[in-house]
Amino acid sequence: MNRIALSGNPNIGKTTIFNALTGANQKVGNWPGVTVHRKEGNFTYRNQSYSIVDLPGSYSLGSYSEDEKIATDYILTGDADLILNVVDATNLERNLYLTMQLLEMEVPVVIALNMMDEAERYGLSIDIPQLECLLGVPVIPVIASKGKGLPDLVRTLAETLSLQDDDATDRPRCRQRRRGRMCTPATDENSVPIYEEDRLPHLSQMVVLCEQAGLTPSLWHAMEIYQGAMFPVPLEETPESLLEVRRTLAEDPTAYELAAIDTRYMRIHRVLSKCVIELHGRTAQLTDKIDAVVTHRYWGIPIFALTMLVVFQLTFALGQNLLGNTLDNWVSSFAATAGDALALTPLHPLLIGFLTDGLIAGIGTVLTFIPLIVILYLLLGFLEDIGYMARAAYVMDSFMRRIGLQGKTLISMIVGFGCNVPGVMSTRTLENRNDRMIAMMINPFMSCGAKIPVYGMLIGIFFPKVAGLMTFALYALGFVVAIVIAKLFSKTMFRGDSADFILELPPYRAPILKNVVRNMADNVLSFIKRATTIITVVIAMIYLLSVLPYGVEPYSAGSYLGRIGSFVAPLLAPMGNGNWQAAVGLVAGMPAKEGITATLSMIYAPGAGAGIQEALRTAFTPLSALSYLVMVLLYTPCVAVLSTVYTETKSAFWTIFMAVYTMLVGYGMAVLVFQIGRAWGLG
Amino acid sequence: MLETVLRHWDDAADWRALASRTGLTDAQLRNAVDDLLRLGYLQAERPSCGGGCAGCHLSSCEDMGLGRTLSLTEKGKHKSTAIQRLEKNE
Repeated sequence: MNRIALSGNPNIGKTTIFNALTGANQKVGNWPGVTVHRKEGNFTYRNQSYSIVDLPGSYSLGSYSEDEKIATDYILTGDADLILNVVDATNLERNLYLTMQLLEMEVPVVIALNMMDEAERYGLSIDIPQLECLLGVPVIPVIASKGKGLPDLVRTLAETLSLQDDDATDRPRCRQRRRGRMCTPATDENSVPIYEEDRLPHLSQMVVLCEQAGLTPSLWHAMEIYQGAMFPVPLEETPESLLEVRRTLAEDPTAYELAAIDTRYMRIHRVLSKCVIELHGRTAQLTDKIDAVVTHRYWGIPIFALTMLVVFQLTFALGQNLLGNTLDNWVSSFAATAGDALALTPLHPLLIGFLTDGLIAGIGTVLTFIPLIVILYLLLGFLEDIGYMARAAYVMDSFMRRIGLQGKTLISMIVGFGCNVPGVMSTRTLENRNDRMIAMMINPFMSCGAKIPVYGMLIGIFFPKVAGLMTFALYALGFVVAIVIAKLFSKTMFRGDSADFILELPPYRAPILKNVVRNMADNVLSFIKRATTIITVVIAMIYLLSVLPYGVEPYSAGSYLGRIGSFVAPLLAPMGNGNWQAAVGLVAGMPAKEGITATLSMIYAPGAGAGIQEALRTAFTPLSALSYLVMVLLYTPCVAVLSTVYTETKSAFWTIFMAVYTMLVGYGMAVLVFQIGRAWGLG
Repeated sequence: MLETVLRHWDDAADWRALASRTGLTDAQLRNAVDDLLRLGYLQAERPSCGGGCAGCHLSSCEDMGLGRTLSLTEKGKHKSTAIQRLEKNE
């Protein structure tokens, strides 16, 4: 029974072809000595059985990875009578690299040119007969996912194997003659890949040397030597022409490694230039054109800013105005009904107060911002999935470099937009300590997801017509403050050279709805989890402080809560928030930022959150609300972030430093906003 | 192609500059970078935080859609310098 080995790059439809050929006739095991899966199956064609082995997917042959080693060893042992090389028609340059190596090995090869439909969509026109001639092996176009071309592939496999039995040396020409086609290039270009010698000195002598040393296939072994393999003969038997190569390799075994690989690519370019029209296709050109705009040196940042503005505007239009208000009505109705029902129970009034004013009103208010979060993360997930966020990171990275900051800091800043805890943790990727400290210290200025309910609440009440713009402005302000502080730190406390890196631009792709929805669902679930766990503890503490000492009027200035607030309030007067309730809101945000919304709801509108909007309109002016939002954006991060900073720096000093300096920056900016606004007559 | 990428790595500030200096398309540069990673001349990091966090909007830190950060390894730095030196001598 003839044995066929299936070889190709990962994720190009190799398994689809294997399954289509073998159906249920498969055996799964492991390759000897390793845990890599080995799949083997059978198929029958014209009463002849064929065995097919699925080799591990790899980009090349050699010994750089376990998968490569397995595939290489298997092919070199000669167990397979023929190699079925699956090639992705949309990325011929990359895929033909493995083909070149197979041809060096002088093994019989049939190429299945998969994803032909995608290639056509990309605007690639491949002259398949010409490709067959240039490579000297049969090339069968297939669309494995639709089963197209597979009957022709099976027929070709059977014919090639039978021809091989007849005359192993005349395989390619036989095939061309049989098909009635003529090869246009010189026939010596067929069958064996011919490499230029300008990069690999004396390659032909090296091939002869391998042949004489009994190393076959000789071209494969010669190329291996240039890639660092041992010389096959002792020094005294080395031909004079190869002595220099030998000396160079002895000094540096990698001296010709890249040249050998580049030589194969040069051959691939020569082949493709003769048989592929529109090599880089319309889609690729379109990608380049889009990138030229969205990653433009000057336009890139305004385009990103505009994109985010649209995201926030849509978030408020759909999430807050359309869905949020409906949910708000439902929560209010539920709270009122639950309050009435609880009033009829024999429960202690303090417990009823905790349930209605605390849990239902506090958590309920936080949960009414779920639609906002749903829409925001759906939109951000979409931008992530199509590859735009990578472009955004890229343009911001270029900007950071231009102003002399470490671009990698940007990654932790973007992570910080979700939550500052992973934002701080992601600074681990910065090798330089000073860069890392800067990245860590500025991360709390990135507006995390927990602050969204506060924005939704105050912006929704005071700036409903420009809600998207206001949210965008807050995010932008956080970013600008972070950049200024980073620059300041890099010139003072944390000076030093930064490590260089290049941020990859991944290809654009069509968004996958499942990914976008799953991303959004994860965020919403984690938001609900926080709202029902950490916030419950905060609410319980706030409620307890609001009803103590025993007998005091709940939520009055005489309660412990009121006394704490009254102590802090005078400090907040310069930022226009000199009332104890606003101060308590900020204190409640120290353990977790969601606590601010819940607390404001409890203390401004006790009684299941009813009338919160009216209460806040009375307590704040638009200007004092704005300064309050700036404070929330910039002031001391939550306890979880501080604890992470301590864990990462192992320093109480830097942890306290972060808590104090962010408080001062937040306070200073809030005062600045209020005083400037008042000077302009906005107060 | 691979040697050209290493030759221009230090001069190019970013991905597009590297593509422009090497004369490669995005797809070709991506292929070259993958090869250099596999061969140990470059190292890549995916933006990651190493752990989840409630409230974090990232469902998976493995794929934030941000692309990888790429830098030269010691082997890559050595090779890049050698290529530049060779070019100067020629």
